[in-house]
Amino acid sequence: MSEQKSGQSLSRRGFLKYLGGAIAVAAVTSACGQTAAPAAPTTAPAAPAAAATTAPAAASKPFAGKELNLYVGNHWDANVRDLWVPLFQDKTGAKVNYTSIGSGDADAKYAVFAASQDSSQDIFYAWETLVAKYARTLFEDLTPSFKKDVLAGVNDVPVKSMTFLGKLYTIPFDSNMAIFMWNTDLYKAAGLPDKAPESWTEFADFSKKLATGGNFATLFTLGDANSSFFTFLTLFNSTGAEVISQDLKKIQVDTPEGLLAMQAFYDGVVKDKYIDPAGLTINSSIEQGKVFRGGKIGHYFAFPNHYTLAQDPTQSQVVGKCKTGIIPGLKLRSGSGNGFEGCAINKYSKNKELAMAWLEHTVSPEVQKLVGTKWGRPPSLKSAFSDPDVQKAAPQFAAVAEQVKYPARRYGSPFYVDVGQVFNDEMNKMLKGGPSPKDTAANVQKLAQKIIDDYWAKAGG
Amino acid sequence: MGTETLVPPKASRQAIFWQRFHRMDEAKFGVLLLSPTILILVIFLVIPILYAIAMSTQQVELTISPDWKFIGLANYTGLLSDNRVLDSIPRTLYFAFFTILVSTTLALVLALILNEPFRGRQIVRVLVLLPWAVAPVVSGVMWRYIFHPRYGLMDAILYSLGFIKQYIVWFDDPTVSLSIASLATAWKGVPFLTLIMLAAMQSIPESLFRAAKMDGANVLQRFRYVTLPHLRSILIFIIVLQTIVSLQVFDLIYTLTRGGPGEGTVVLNFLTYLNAFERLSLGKASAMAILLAVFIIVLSGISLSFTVQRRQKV
Amino acid sequence: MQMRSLRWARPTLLYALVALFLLWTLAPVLWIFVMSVQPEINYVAVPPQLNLQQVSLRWFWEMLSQQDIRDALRNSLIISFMTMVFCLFFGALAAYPLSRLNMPRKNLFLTLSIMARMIPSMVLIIPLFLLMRDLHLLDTYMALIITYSTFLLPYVIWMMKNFFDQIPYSLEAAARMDGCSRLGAIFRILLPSIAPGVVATAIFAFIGAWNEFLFGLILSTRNSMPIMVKISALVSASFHTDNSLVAATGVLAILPVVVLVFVLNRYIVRGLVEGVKF
Repeated sequence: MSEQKSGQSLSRRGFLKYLGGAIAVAAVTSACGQTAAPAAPTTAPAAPAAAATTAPAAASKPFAGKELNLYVGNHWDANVRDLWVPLFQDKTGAKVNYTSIGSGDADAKYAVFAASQDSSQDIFYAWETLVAKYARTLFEDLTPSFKKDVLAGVNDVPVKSMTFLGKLYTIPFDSNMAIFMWNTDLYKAAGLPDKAPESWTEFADFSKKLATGGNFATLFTLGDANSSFFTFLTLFNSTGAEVISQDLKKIQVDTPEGLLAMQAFYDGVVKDKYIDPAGLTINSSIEQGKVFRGGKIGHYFAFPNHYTLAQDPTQSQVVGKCKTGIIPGLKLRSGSGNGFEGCAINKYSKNKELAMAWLEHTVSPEVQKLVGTKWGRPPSLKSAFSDPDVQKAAPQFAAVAEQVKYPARRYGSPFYVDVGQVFNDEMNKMLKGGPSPKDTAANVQKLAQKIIDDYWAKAGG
Repeated sequence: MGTETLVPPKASRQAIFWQRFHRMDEAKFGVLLLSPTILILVIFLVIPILYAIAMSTQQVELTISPDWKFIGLANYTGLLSDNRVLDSIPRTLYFAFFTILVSTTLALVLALILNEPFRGRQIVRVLVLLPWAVAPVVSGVMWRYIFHPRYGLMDAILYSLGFIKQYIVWFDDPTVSLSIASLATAWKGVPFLTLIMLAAMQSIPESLFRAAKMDGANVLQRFRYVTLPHLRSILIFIIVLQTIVSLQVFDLIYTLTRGGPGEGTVVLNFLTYLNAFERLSLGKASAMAILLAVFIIVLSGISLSFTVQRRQKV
Repeated sequence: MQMRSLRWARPTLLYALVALFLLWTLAPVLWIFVMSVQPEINYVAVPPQLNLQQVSLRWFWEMLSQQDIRDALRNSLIISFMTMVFCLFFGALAAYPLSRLNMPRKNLFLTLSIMARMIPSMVLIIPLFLLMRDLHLLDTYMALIITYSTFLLPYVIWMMKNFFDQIPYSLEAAARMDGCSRLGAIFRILLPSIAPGVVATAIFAFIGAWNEFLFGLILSTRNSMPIMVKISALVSASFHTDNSLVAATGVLAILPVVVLVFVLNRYIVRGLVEGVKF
């Protein structure tokens, strides 16, 4: 393996190096390279008082003088950059260079990093599908190196999802998964009891009562490959069945369970018209949350931090009017879809020891407390749930603690987007009154299985 | 930068150098002036292109392994049986056709209008330039906001005028989405096309119009028999230009629809992006891009030589 | 009678068409501007409840108060300006011989360089990234300046060649008689005499660099990230809850070039028209 790699990288570099002209230009350009004034580093401001008090008074700073390069999504800025990084710098003495990027732009950047075997970044942000995509070319295998005793404290549902073909590539810092949230005012107005529906049938009944006068009762994100697949899974998971086999080789949609989930969406959008068809163009759960916070829909499947947002008067009209519960299920009592995120180490990093310290930092009790209290996401560290501050700051975690007992798999895989695209295409057709749920399930089965077969034919194994 | 070749290394040699420099014959002097540009283009354009061509003969699948494997032309032949490619061809053609149709028509009408004297013409001429300066990334955002299902201007207007009872979801239909992407591309292209068309119109001798008028030709006839023949070669140029623009569209779709709904707006160039960076099939993506480039070059070559011929005739 | 009604109808039709065109041209820009000065809740309402009293620039101030947005704007300004300078300098050097010197196969150079630009630029991403890394230029202004100059030069040369073509030979001959060197003649006599064309080319290069996205994304990390990458990040970021902020950033990102176009429109109109010929 290593032999192959060096030979291959030689030929590639040789290709460029062969051209002596580059050297001439290097002389000119490196002189001009200085024109790029080093921008003020975007590293975090001083730790806020709240965080500073919890910082341990570590006398020894093992990584003083070293630098850690973090490359993450910009939805982490307010928490990771502003809260976690200062803590880490205090604790280790290392300097953190924090770079954030639109999560949608990460694809192109990661691909380039992987293709060029780049070592400039040490830590990448990751979730299940990034794990599966970059396991073989960019992310470090953490199975042998990450401390077992630390890992033991972390919730194993998210840990399992960051595992690809038996190896662990990312340490999750949350156990973020969709729960159920409803608007108590709209429930009252529709004459509904002040409780979450306990099955999909009851959910449909509630919805029909909420959908009056041209309003819709709920909204699902079905706008692109990722959101369609995710939305399908949230429902499908509550049948207790598996959509893709453990070895990631067989898809199982053309089953009674798959049909049940398809039929549920079909009825909601086409037959009973209580699901807002605008969801067919919405791919972000934040957009979905906004609709709820604008008081326009009665209930939806929400990420836990949406509850925190809904209590913020500057962006919500439903402050104090929402409650959370667990998602009503199709066969089981409940099921969900996960949004676990975490950090991975660049396998080409030259700074792995410090990078490992960062991973441990993200699941340390003080950071995990911040995940719960400041971010509104359920922590991944099991012990953090019993922290009274966390319980007080985020009452919705009671629902999460319940929700966690039901399946919430995301089926991250190298072909995630392509399979998701099949779901997106076929469900879109169906929800616009095209093929029946049965035909849709059959089509998805056929098309998605072909994608999976093609992948394994190429990957060999 | 790059002029260092022109600067003598030592003062003592200066005189000789300049003497030689001034006596240099034209062709050599020309090559000297061109050399920095040639150097830049070779290093930063030709080498990357050669690299891409090399990559297109390799199997590079980053979801599987970091290694390259030589597979000859398999990436190219594979494209012929790739459903995604086959599906995106009609989409690309529709997109290109619609973009060309809308932008050329609008530019022609706008140029005709701006060729007429009217009060405020100067300011209008300046205002219609605006889209030319707007970045495709931002234009994608703008058009998304125009057709947004919750706060889109289009829905707001239709609703306020009473045409619709409920906001329409525009981007859930592939054809509509593709058409909106075309509109946005045309929107950005019209100002420039108008300018060149206007210039061509203004170069038509006034006497021709007077003669046509004396022969009793009406407005439409004058357009048909005087204006249009003079615009023919510029029209062909514009069509070629817009074809190239629409075959290379990327930024706009990236922020407008990201290829959705489904793969409804995945045109060839966007598919290249998806193959390279979403599916990490770099070899295949390179092959696609190179085929697309060959197609564009052949297309523009044919139509430009045609234009030049026409020109020589006129 | 018929004549009179026609005389009345023509200007009406004309103005109606002008109004339609202005609407088509300005609506997208105006709407994003409206969004950038109104709280989101106003335009999300059905139908929108725009309120003059709530017009506010606070979304602009909020974005401008962020260090990384200010940095991105500054980066874009520097990169675009330097690209413009590069393009003009090398463009003039290359366009002059192509236009005026007696050289074999000079058209081939232009054709080839324009043809090379027909390759969709996304496959050049990885080789350029490797190249810039080997030159230690990643995340510097220089990487983007070189890349943009490379991509724009074929067009710039083409435009400038057309401008040079219009200068009578006698002008250059006179300058040489007065003792001007060949290089001196290019920069002191020829370029000034095509000033409007040079301005148009400069704007073309500036805007080309300012508006580019993909290479800005790939070749920058922190220090040289241009504004277009920031916009895309804001749009794709799922955390963003306020579209007024996205809209305000959009307006900020087009403001410099829009101002440039409005101030220098005279040159652009003339320059682009004359610069684009075969």
